[in-house]
Amino acid sequence: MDAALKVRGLAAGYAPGVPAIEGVDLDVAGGHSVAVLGPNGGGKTTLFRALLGQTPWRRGEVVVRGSLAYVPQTERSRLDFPIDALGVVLMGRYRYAPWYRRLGRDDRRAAREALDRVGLGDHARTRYGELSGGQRQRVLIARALAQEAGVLLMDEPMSGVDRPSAELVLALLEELRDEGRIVLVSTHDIDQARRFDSVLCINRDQVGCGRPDEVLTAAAVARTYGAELVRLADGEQAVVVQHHSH
Amino acid sequence: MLDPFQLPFMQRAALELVLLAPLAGVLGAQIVLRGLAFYAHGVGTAAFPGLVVASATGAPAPAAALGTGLLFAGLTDRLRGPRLGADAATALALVAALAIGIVLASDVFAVGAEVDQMLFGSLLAIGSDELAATVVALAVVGCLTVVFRRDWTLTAFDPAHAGSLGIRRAGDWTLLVAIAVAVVAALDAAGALLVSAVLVLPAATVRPFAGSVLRLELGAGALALVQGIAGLWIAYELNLPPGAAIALVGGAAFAASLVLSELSRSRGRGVPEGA
Repeated sequence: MDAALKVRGLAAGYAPGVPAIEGVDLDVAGGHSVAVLGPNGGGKTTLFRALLGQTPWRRGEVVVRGSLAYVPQTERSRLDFPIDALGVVLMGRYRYAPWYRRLGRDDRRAAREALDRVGLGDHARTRYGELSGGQRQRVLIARALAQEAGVLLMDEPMSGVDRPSAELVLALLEELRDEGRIVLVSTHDIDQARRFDSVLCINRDQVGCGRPDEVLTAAAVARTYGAELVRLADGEQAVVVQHHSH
Repeated sequence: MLDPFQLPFMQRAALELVLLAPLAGVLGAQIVLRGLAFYAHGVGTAAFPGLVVASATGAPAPAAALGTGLLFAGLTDRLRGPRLGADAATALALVAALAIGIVLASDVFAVGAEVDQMLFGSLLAIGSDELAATVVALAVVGCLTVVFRRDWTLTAFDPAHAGSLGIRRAGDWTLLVAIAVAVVAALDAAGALLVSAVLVLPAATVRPFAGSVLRLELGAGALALVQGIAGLWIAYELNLPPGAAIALVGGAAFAASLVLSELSRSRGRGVPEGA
């Protein structure tokens, strides 16, 4: 897999003149994982939507090699939808089958393999809504794999997922990265961000981008989180996280 | 029991219901999965002023109904925004359409007697023109379904994913147009105000028991046919308006489905884990 993602001076947003994000620079080669760290409303989702071409760009340049796949938050998916796990993964194959062609044996095999890959081969026929939060997240990752994506954009994949499942998801992301994919994960958890190859701190403007130990300084974290940052009595910093729906 | 169906007008009514069943299956499924029941009802109501104008001027009724129906769809799309939710926009446009229709019927064109049929259907008075219009609607919706069904389902399940594949807008618009066409086709059977009984109720009834979208579509189509024929027969035997009879049968089936799904859910909860 030969994925690459280059972003230069990207500004994007719906309202003309007031971009929701500005000055984003990112240069990632295949086989790298990036945590996009920032407060709620700081522009993480806007960045992903801009990369997917869903939010208008105002300035800048984006070059993508390999196809992009978006993995949404499982918390927001439809639990009452009449579909099983395999059905969700098969949706990743729709783009390969034009409307006049039914999904074929190859598509089913690719979907099965993707489901095996995330360790849910035994749950192919389980109703999506009956899976746990972590299992649903893995099903959505399997859908991106069935889509043969080179670049995975994952929106808070560890939120709404218990800790053992979050570890499973993180391990899976490391595997996918090692196979040459680019894995971009938005998060507001600084500890999780440390486990990625690079961190992109964003709070409307880009605060910093680079290796976690270089970027995640006290000053950068303070600039990233602004008013959401609380200074504790012993000098440690803590981030107040407010869950919200978009 | 089958005697009434020897009569030509009953046969035409039954044929109309057979033609509507696939629409109720495919589009009914999408309507309940996307939460578009109120939109479907709104398009039906919006068709009413179109029917009034058609009746007074001699214009083709399906074309006029589709025209005002699509105007309604465009208007609600324009009205809704950050300050006005989609539901409120639909309600506003729906009330306006009904009021305009009544004013046109009573004061402008003096249509009078036919208003009942426009609002509640005239299944027993269906002629070959109406059947032909339904066949055309079936063909149009069939083509749209063949091309866009996967996009519709994908968008219903995960709009963000659909958006990332660039199919969202086309999927949305084709579905709204297909629903408008189906609603207009169902007007003869159920009228402007009862059209949901044909297009929405069967899918809503089947939904709790459907394991896949395909089964939801097949089940809703089959139920639409069964409840339609049962309603038609009851209407004939008891001398009721058929649109209302079909709606009552559909409502009873929906209530039964609600009770059954609640029962099975509470039984599911009552079983201890691992038992």
